[in-house]
Parts: sequence; C-alpha cells; structure tokens
Amino acid sequence: MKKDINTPLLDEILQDIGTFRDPETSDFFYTRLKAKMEEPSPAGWSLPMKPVWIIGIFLVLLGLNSIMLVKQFQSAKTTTTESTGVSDVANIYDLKISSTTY
Amino acid sequence: MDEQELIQGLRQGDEPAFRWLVDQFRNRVYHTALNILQDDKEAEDAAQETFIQVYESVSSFREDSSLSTWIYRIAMHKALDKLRRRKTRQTLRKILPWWMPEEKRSSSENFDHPGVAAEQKEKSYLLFRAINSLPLKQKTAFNLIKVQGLSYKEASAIMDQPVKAIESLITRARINLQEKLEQLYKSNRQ
Repeated sequence: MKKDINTPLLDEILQDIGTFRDPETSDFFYTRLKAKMEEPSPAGWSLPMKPVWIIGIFLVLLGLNSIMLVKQFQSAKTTTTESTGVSDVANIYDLKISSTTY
Repeated sequence: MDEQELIQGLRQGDEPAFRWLVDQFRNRVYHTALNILQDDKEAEDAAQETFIQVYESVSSFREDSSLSTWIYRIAMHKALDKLRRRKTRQTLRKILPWWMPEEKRSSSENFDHPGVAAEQKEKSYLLFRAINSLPLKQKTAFNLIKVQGLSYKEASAIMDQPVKAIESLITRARINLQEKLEQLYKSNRQ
C-alpha cells in the first residue's frame, strides 16, 4: 500500500508543467549514428593513458619511495646504535680508542 | 512491423529494420538519456551508443523482456555510465586542474527541458535542479515514471527492481524533492 505523503509544492509544479513531451533528436541523428557505426575504433583515452591509471601508478611510486625512505632512516639509526655499543665496551675495559693515527 | 519480425530482421543485419527501430525509439531513448544527463550533446551520444549496442548485441537478446524494455535499459546504463565518467572527470579536475582541461558543457545550472511549454520554463528549471540533487536510483525512477510517464511495472523491468522497490524510491524522491524545492524557492526569494 502506498503511503500518503504531503508534497504540495512538488505536486503543484508537476501539475502546472503537465506532460513532458519526448524531445526530438536532430534530423541528422541517423546519419551521425551510421557514421559512428563505421568508425574503426572508439575515440577516447587508451588504457595506459587513462587518468585513473596514471594516478594509480603515481601513488604506487610514491608509496615505494616512502617505504625506501623509512628503511633508510631505520638503517641509519641501527648504525648509530652499533657505534654507541663499541664505545660502551671500550669504556668498560678502560681502553682508549683514538681515531688519531701516529 | 511486428516485434518478432523486427528482431529477426535485426539479427539478420537488415538495414531497413534497424532504421525502423531507430525511428521508433530515438526520441524516447534520447529523452531517457537527457533526463539523466541534463546535457543535449552527451544525451545524443548516449542515444547513439544505445542503438549501436542494440545492433551489435541483438543476437544475444534473450527476449525475457520486451524489446522496448531492453532498449530503455541499455539507454539508462549508457547515460549512467556517462554521468559517472563526468563525475570522475570533475573530481580529477579538482585534484589536478592543470592536467584535466575545462569541459565545454552545453548544459548550465538551468537545464532547459525541450518538452516543456515556454510559460512553465522557470518551474521546470527549479524542478530539474532539484531532481539533479537526488541519489541516482531515485533520480532514474522519478524521471522514468513522473517525467517520461512510464508505468511502475515498466520502470521496474527497466531498472531490474521489484515494483515495491520502485514505489519506495518514488516516495523518497518526492519527499527529497519537496524539501529541495522549498530551499530553492526560499533562496530565490532572498
């Protein structure tokens, strides 16, 4: 069963407009249609040139770059920790580490 | 020409049969696309693509619906595809304005429906602005039934939804349109 809803403004507009006639296509509709049917291939973006693909590739590259940067940052941090470890051992055994060569 | 003869003719690639079909349906197909797209050039493109698809795939038409329902369905899908692509282009243009060129669209905010009497144009502009703000399914159902004058049963077959679902879409569309029209009238008065 249909619900009774109150839409006075819409009903008034629809009543005033009355029937919407089917709009007419141009006289050359069929000629254009035949020409389109005889076209060898549809025009438009070819697959690798579609914006969505280019943006996708760009985002993948951006992601890879970010991963590489994070990895580089992490490996730099590990190297610093390792060198700190060596100087700690030298201190414990009271060894003098000198970078100066005689 | 009887529908079976027409389908047979189309399957055999008979040009007079195809021409007859185009002449019978072109205005209705164009109307379906125009209501969804609100742009005459895009609607004509969609109508032409509809007939190309009809010609190319009539051999796979299973006849589980009438020929007209099948044609309307193709037209609706073609128009909705174009609308989705337009929205994608608009989004991309916002993100990459230097890359996506501005489109010269033939429609403006005020869609001028060619089948409306001149003295009702102002009301028609407001109505189609409101229709354009509806969710796609509500917009399609409302256009098929209230603008093109199809029955609930026909719209249900075209949209591949039960009649109850179509009724519900129309109810929600009417409520939303009433609200939108009230807003538009208020902003027009200010």
